[in-house]
Amino acid sequence: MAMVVPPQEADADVRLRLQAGDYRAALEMLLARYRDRVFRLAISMLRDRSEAEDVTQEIFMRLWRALPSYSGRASLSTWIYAISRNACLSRIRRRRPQVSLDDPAVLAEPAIAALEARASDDSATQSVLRLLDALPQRYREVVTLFYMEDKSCEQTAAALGIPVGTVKALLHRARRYMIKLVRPSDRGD
Amino acid sequence: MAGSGEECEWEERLQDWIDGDVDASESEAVLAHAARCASCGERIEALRTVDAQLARCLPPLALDEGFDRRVLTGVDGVPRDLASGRSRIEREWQGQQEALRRGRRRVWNWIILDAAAISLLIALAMASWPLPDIAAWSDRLLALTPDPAWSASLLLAAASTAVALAIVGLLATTEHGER
Repeated sequence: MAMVVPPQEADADVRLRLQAGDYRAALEMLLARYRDRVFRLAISMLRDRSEAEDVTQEIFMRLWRALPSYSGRASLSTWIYAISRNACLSRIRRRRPQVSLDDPAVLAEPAIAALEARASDDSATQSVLRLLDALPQRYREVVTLFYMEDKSCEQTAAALGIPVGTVKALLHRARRYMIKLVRPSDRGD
Repeated sequence: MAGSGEECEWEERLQDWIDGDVDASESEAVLAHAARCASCGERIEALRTVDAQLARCLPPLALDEGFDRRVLTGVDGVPRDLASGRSRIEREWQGQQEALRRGRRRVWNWIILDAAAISLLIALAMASWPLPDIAAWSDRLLALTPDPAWSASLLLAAASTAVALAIVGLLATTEHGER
């Protein structure tokens, strides 16, 4: 009969490997479980697939070096996401200064009005991405991760290290913000 | 739509509905309200559009199959050296701890040996010298007036022997520890 594993014991098998000093096997298990989640977190923060893939690889190399020092005080997922966020933030800081996407001149581009265009229209995709870029970073990260994580508030909260209620609040505000960008006369904050 | 308080309430309920974060009865209530209220009807359509576009633009991306291989290849390269380096350092550290323990045991052994040798030499020295006049010595002790010549020579001989033996012992210990 299959046993239901409580969430807090989800990585108990990895912990056992770590206690036995079998770091490589532990890393293989973590790769299988977290690689796509870390990758999506990186995309939500960096907004660039190639760079996100690069930094994800870097994150797992960091994990490999850090595994012997894992104390077990925090859950493995919390620990991994903390390392991932730090790596992404370092990458963002290393970037050259860019033009702010919050600039009103950028928001005034007519392409953002295409939000209501047909879903099959490729320019609509570009327009939504531009709208997304126009969001404040905190909103953008939550929205990106929420949709990439198949609309899971819990998973988004875990990855970003914030409460589920905060994820919902930011998500709702972000949608209001996006609608307001397209229809300035609409209500919203 | 009514006042701003109710508006906010419905805004949140509409968004919860979009996220599927409502039960069946709440879902019916939201749809019924949207059918009656033109503003909320428009709003729910706008939210649906945003939701559909975002879901389409932000699919659950995944890494390709080669990713794991690339990471593990990297791990098997430099990090393996790192791992072996870590175990080498651990072995060295344990070796150093054991050497320290051996050194401490050796020093104590020599201290005990030195003390025994010094005691023996002092005893021999005292035995080889003419015995003092015990009665007179006792008198002097009682009078707290020791014979300066006798006590000085005895103490000098004992101290010299002790110092010489201690130096020999320490030299022997140091030499042994360096091996």
